[in-house]
Amino acid sequence: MTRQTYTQQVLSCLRRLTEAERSAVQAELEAHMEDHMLALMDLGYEEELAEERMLQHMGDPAEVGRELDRQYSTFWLVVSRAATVCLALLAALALTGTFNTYYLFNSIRARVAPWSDIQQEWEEAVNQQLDIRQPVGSDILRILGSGTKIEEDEAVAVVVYCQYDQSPFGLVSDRNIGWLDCRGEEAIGGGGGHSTSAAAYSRRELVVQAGDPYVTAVWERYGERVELQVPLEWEDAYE
Amino acid sequence: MKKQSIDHAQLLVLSLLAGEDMYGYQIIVELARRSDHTFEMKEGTLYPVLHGLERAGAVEAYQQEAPTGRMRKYYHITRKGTELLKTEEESWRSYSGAVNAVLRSSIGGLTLA
Amino acid sequence: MNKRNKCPDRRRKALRRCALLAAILLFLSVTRLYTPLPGMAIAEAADVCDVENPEVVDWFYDGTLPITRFSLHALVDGERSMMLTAVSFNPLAGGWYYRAFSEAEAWDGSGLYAGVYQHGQDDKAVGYLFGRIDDPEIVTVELTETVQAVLAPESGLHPDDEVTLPVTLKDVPIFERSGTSYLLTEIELREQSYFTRGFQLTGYDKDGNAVATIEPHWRYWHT
Repeated sequence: MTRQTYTQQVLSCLRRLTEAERSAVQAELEAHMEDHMLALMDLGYEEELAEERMLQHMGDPAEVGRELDRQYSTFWLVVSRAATVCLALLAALALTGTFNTYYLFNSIRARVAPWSDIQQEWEEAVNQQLDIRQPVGSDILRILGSGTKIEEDEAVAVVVYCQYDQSPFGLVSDRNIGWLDCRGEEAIGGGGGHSTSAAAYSRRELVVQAGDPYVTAVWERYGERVELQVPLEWEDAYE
Repeated sequence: MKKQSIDHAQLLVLSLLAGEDMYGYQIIVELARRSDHTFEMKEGTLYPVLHGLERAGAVEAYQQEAPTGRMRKYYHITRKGTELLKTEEESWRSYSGAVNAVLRSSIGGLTLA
Repeated sequence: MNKRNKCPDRRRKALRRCALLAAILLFLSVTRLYTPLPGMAIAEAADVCDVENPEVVDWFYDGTLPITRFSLHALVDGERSMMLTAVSFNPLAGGWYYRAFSEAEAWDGSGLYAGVYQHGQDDKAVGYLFGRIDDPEIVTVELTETVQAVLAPESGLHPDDEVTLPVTLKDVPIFERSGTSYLLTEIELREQSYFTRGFQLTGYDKDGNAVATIEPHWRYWHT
């Protein structure tokens, strides 16, 4: 019997161990046998004799292997493997783009750089950049700017605004904002907008009277009412 | 009653590690030295003992470079291992105390050398 | 003692992996990057239609439409409103998400609150009446629909005029859950629902007297 055959006999009994665990056991046994042999050789033994004496002290390799194998429980290995499978699955899902990063991105964009999601013609319609934020329900109404123009006999106020949930991970409500002129009457008009689940951008054109100092945004829900004044600038409106 | 019981080989190894971290061969040498060769286990069987203690959470292992350049696996007793050792020591003390008491009383006062 | 190069044993490795998995799942759920539970989709629908503090009263399955074959429907009660919503699961599209919803206002103290939910796909459609009855006098309800008269040529009215027709309720509408009376029943839908102008719901007491009449809010989803 040599050191190598001893180690091989022990390893052959290790049914339950993984490859990595098996090589760790091998390294540990080899280091142990080397340490013992060096100690004997320091005492003056020849290498062959030192190996023989050392192996006598090691014990039955099959018994050592069997006892060692018993110390490795399958339970934790199964748990470890199951967790690894789940992690690999999540990694695969991340690569296939299944995570809703789109919503998070839009949510953050509305907070940090709302104008980046607004088309040029809206920007041009605004002659006063604003940043008025008003909590409405579980969302935030953010007035980005107002503009004014006089077309033929009609004075029109333009408001550009966006809405997003108070939580960066939440969704925006699809409730509409109503508009009143500064006399408290409903302001008629049209507009447009675009939205995702995370943020909604709108542009409203409202028929008002030239020189009106503001228009009022009205938000209503279940008997709750919030009004917000949006100031208007008329200097540049006259063409 | 104890939650976890360990055999005497594990107890001896654990008590050695309570003093300092050791690697496999070192444990064998120390055990023989301190017990004046009363306890000399077959060296290969040390490893099932150590790996069993590791599984029980009584010891943890780490690698450190030996002077020869090889990496050595050292064993370190954990807090759980220290508590386990204390419990076992106490029950061993009370057990051996009881044995001594019975022997003394049956031999009627003669002290054993 | 410098514990460099710790040798991980099976238990430590397994626990570390499980902890990592749990941390990732928690992160994904909180940020709604992935919604592994149907309740999360319900919360999202509630966020969109403004239902505060949503609580699911009843779950049910309705696979009539191909798109709802893998969906769950839920009747949801909130603080001042209610909702009926259908949520679906797609593991490759973010988990659970809402497909359709309809809300009902429930704050004005009238004792009878309701909404109508309609969902159509190709030539199939389903409709539900849902709501809550806070007035203990109301024991039965009747639903009617105002449509353009073109759907009722026998009425003799001009096609652009409006006429009110009864709507058949397929089940007994009222049931009780945790001491509160709720409304939930499938309704018979007309084939051309785009001529619908509105609904009316009347609650009757045990003597047959009309106690309350409301106009339920309604939404029509088309997939």
